[in-house]
Amino acid sequence: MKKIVLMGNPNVGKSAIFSHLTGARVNVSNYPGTTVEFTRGFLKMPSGREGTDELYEVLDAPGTYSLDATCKAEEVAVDLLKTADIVFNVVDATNLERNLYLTLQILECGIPVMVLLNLWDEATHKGISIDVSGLERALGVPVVPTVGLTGKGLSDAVRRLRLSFSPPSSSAIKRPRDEIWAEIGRILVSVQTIMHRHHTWLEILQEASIRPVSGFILAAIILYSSLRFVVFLGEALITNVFEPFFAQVYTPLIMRLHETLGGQGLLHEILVGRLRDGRVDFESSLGVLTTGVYIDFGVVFPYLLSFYLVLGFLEDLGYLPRLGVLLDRLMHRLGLHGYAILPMILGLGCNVPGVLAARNLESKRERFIVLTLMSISIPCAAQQGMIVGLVGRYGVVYLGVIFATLFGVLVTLGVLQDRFVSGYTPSMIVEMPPYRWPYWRSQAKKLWMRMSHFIFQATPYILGGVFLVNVLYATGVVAVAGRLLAPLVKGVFGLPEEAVSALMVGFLRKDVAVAMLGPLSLSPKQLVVGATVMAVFFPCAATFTVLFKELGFVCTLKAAFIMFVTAVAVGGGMNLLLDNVLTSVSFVFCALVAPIVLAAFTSGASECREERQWKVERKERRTGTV
Amino acid sequence: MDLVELKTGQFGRVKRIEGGRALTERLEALGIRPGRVVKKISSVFRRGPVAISLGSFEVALGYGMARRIIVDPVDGASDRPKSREVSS
Repeated sequence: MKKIVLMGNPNVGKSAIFSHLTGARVNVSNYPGTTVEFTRGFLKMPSGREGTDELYEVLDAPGTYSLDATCKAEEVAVDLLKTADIVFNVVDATNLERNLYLTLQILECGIPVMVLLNLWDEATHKGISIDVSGLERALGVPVVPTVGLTGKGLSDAVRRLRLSFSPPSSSAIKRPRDEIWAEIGRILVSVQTIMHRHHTWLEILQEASIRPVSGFILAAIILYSSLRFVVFLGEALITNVFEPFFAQVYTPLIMRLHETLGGQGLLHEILVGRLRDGRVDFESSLGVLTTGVYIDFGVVFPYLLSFYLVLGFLEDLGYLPRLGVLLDRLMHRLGLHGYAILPMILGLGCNVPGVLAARNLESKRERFIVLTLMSISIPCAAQQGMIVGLVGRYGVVYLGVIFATLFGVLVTLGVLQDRFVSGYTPSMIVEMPPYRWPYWRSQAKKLWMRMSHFIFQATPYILGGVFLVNVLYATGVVAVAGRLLAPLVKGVFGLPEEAVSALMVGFLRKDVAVAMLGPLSLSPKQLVVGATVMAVFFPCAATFTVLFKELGFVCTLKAAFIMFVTAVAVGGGMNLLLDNVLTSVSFVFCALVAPIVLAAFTSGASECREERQWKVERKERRTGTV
Repeated sequence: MDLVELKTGQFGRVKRIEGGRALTERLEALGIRPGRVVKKISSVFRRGPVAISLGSFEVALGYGMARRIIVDPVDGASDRPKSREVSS
């Protein structure tokens, strides 16, 4: 079986083409670095005459600007190229100049190449016309115009695949870079024509979103309205769809099960749990089919759905890299650069893709900092949904305390790590994609992909988490662990001993863990402390696994140590301060303002280091040349 | 003059890049190399990143990196690469 590798610059639409060629579902977005690992798929081609189908293995590689890899994701791409039988070089037709650099480098490898001139519709729209047969002659390989989102032109590409083609003639000689650029210049003059045209309103918006003043105003508007929309839609779904469903359809079903099981016994205990006053209480019954299903679909699902709807829109519009540009300065104070905002935003949905997205960052230091910050102070959407559902009813101010604390922890830990984590944080260098109006079909596909991932991957864990709680209680583990950990849980956090069960389940699923606090009849303050500690404490099993894979043993151990210390400090601090010294409102204020002041007055350590080094270099250069 | 000192909206021709091989290679893969004309489109704050346009696409560079790109300001240039251009 022949292996086709899709290679190209970041954000040229490789993944869109991949999913059209193979039918496999992959994530597609409008920002560089969506794909960080390769995805495998198969292309079946009925080969006519012999009557047998020919099967190709297709690999979707992360984007790279050149064959000299600069980060982990690019390394994956370069390694893949070495194994390819055929390369589909996906080229952004609107950016021919930059894209041809990689094309010419690939041509030097001596592997058969077909160039897919993608975003052909956008190029036409932008007044760029390319002489396809001229480009074919210049490069010496087949060139096919395509539109990745709709799949237009791909059947041509597959048809031409059947006509066997040989490796490019100009192969296997590495030319100096200047010569490559000279050749690109010659090719551009002969095949590309550009018509001048006026700016579109999307382009005007594009420019406004990175200008100092308008950029921050736009960012505030976008972030605020995103938040409002997520909460609004999430609540609307719960009150209009999920609550009626649970009350009118699901409760009678459970009551019937309750009767069938005879109202007691081990199986009843595990599936239905304890009834309150003869009725099902979805929040505190603790049965797999009652509380488990309720957490999954009654609380987390609607919230996750509305979050991913908004995230998908922002991703495909192309806004996120620009947010990174605006925040670059602030992120440097945390030992990161602006693009590190991307994994963090993805982490707000689920920490696992967030951890993986950190592969786009160049240095090990940055990856360590962003991963610890994320797993400590960025609760996933499922956890947030549960927190909002459980704590929100006591008043917004309690939610404020939780999220302000997490924000404070994020900034403080960032500043500290910038000081003490060795290594370097390079300057940001990021391509800003043009704003594109999201295409509804790919939006729907992406949302479906993410939600089905949640249903099939997370649901077993949620139900398993509730099951585990029952087992822990039934076997008396909770009682023993509660007594052992009482000094910490009771003494430091001010929580009842049974809260240990919630902490233990937190390793499995954070949303279940937060839900476990519900039946303990805690005071609002205890709830706030419990929910915050749960967020800061160790990440869930899935996140821990990828964290381990990305960081290695030693760094994971370090990260775990930071998590533990932070959790104890934050939980203990909140328990002490929340009703003795400060009221909740002033606590929110302090948690928000203090870290910002801290960050403002300690100039970023890595920033200073870079500045010093730059000055030394410039001085050397001056004295050297003069 | 470096990219930080170039005014927003002004064109500049890259003169040299003051950095190691890794940095030059990285910028070069994006098309930022000596001789190329770029247009500065924005800068965020005093020490924030600088955004430049290379005609068909935009790149944001961190402050530290922007200081290392030495340019000569040019008037009335275009940030597009050489190709046949038609006015409509």
